[in-house]
Amino acid sequence: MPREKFRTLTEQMFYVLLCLKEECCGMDILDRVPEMTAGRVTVGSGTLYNLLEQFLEMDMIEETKVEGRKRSYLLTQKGQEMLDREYERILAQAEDYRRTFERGM
Amino acid sequence: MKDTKRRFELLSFYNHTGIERHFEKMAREGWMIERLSNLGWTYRRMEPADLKFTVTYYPKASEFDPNPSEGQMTFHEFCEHTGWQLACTWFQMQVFYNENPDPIPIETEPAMEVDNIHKACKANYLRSYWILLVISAVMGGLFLVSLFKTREVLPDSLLEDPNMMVTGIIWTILALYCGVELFTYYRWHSRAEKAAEQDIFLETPNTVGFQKSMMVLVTILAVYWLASFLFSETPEMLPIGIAVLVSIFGAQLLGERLKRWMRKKGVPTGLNRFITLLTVFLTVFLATGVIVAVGVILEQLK
Repeated sequence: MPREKFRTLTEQMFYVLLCLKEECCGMDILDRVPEMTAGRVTVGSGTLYNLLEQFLEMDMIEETKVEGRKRSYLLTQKGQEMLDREYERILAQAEDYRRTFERGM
Repeated sequence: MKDTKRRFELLSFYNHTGIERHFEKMAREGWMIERLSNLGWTYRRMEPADLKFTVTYYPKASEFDPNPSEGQMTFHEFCEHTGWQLACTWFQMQVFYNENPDPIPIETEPAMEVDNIHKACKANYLRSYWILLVISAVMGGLFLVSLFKTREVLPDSLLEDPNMMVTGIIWTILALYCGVELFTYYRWHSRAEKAAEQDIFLETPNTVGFQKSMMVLVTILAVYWLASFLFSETPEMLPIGIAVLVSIFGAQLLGERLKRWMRKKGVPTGLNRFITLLTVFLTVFLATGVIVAVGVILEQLK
């Protein structure tokens, strides 16, 4: 069964939204995500373009500035809630991992 | 030595894996893809190079757009930012190349790529094949039913009228071709969606072998059809037959040139599409009508 759209976020979705905690344009996101993650996560240019379109459609981000073709975006309240939910899920996973391996100690 | 060459490639529209490998091979042999069209793919001579190609799809693009849209240009700029240069576009297909041997891919989310390809194919490729399948299945079906009714493998009536036989067989082949293409696409799409759930990219399938065999069959039938005129009671109809084929090809060429000219002149997408399709249809209709009328008159003058 296909995953419900944005029910859980992939790493790339997570970091794109994280970048948009502050106003940021699309091309800067392409550079910031690998910087933030020490090169561990990269977002393809095509994937980023489509993600921004979908996030806009779902009101997870909003367009704040348009300078020619350069568009800047910012996280909305809904986007923040989805990031928070994903963060809680990751924490819960990490806690399950910690408890499982500490039981053996 | 020529600086450009044109080839007919038997690669399906959505077969980005096959198309990328093909362009990379051509680049190693010193040929860069310059333009894609229904009348062949044009390559430009260059220094042989080890380039990485990516074929991606922009579903909102149209072959009739006078200029790339703002969104499409933004998409191109995003790709350029990571070292991808635009080689050419064709309908929704966007072809990029990169000199970096290990570049960041343009598509890094399998689910998104599959969704994009499907949207692009629905806009054009799938619709055309479904229409062609329905028409050719009906025509081919009528031919097979008429064969079945006579209970003979090759009824005398067909042997006496190669036109009917060749036309019937070609419709049947066309129906088979469209059916196989559509089946292969939908099967890949279903599997690719499942693979994307596991974050896996699934390569697109190759139907080049099947397409080549269909082309060989159609060529043999075309030669038989033309040769049948020479041995018939009306060999003077051979130029008529050739003229019909040439007019169909000519209409395609006219349509292609007209579309490109209107794009250069900035004609809006919808108007360009309407005029181009109408021109092709009318050209084929009128040319075929005139040629057949001339044939009938010549026959009566005998």
